[in-house]
Amino acid sequence: MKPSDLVYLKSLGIDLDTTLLYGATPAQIIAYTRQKILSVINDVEKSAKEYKDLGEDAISSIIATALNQTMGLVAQREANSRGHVDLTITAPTYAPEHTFQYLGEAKVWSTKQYCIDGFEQLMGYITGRHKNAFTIIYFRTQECDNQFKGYVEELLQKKGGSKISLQTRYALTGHTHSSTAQVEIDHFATHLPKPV
Amino acid sequence: MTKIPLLNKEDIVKRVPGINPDDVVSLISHLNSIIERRSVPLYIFFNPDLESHAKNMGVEPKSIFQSLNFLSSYFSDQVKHKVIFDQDGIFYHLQEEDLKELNEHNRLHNPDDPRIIYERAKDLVRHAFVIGLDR
Repeated sequence: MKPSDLVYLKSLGIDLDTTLLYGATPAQIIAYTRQKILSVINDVEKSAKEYKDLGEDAISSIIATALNQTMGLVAQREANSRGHVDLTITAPTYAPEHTFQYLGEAKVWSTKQYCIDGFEQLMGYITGRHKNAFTIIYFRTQECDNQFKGYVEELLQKKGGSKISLQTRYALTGHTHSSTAQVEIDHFATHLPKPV
Repeated sequence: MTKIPLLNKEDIVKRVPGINPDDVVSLISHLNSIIERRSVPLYIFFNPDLESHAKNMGVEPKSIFQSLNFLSSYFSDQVKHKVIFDQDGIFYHLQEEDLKELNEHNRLHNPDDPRIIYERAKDLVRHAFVIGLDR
């Protein structure tokens, strides 16, 4: 892109990631999207009190809104892929020929099994061409971190797969999809406790 | 040229939160009024076309960009983002291998004569949303 084009876009408040503008790999776009989601979650958690009465749909819409403001990503709600997916993220200016589609299932925490069911739903939405997908759990309870860790461990115990990374409120697990393709699932936790 | 299907504003609000549904619907009508008379693809270069279309529609260029980005995701067969080499009498859509070369080495081979290599090629390419491209 000509420097003048870049300067022009910036003057409009459009700050595209120039490292991704020339045929970025799926792995690069996933890494970028992952960081954006973590950043949005961080901002949402800071305003947790404002969202005390919101349900899953409303919180997911807030996250989608924030992702849409990045300009490089397009976050859709309830798009159709073998069912209605809570969040579908694409990156038409970064991904060559629309090869990037990142599907996500959102759940408000109630039990580990409920969220594991959400994981199963997600695995049903994705096809063998989706190498990555994500879950996002909204913890409205006072406790979050131990419950999230317990969920990841029980998920792997019941559904198989491998733990690639487990951090505070984030995990990456690897699984074999029913198509036999290997997929990696990002698990994000958002702590939005209702005031006591 | 085939028109872009009209979308319902309420569906846009629900489906793509944070995007102005009025601007998306206006943009679709605006583009359809142009493309129905055309038999060749319509190019909207980031610079200067976003601004000129925005001026014609009375909306902000940023919103046009955001709407086009959404349309290129939702109607990916009709609206595509392309990186274009537009120099030395050549008008060429970069293919996957060109993008890789550009990304890794910041250079491009002349598509007509691969012996000619353009260095610092990121300064030479342009970005556009293209409507009505077959592939």
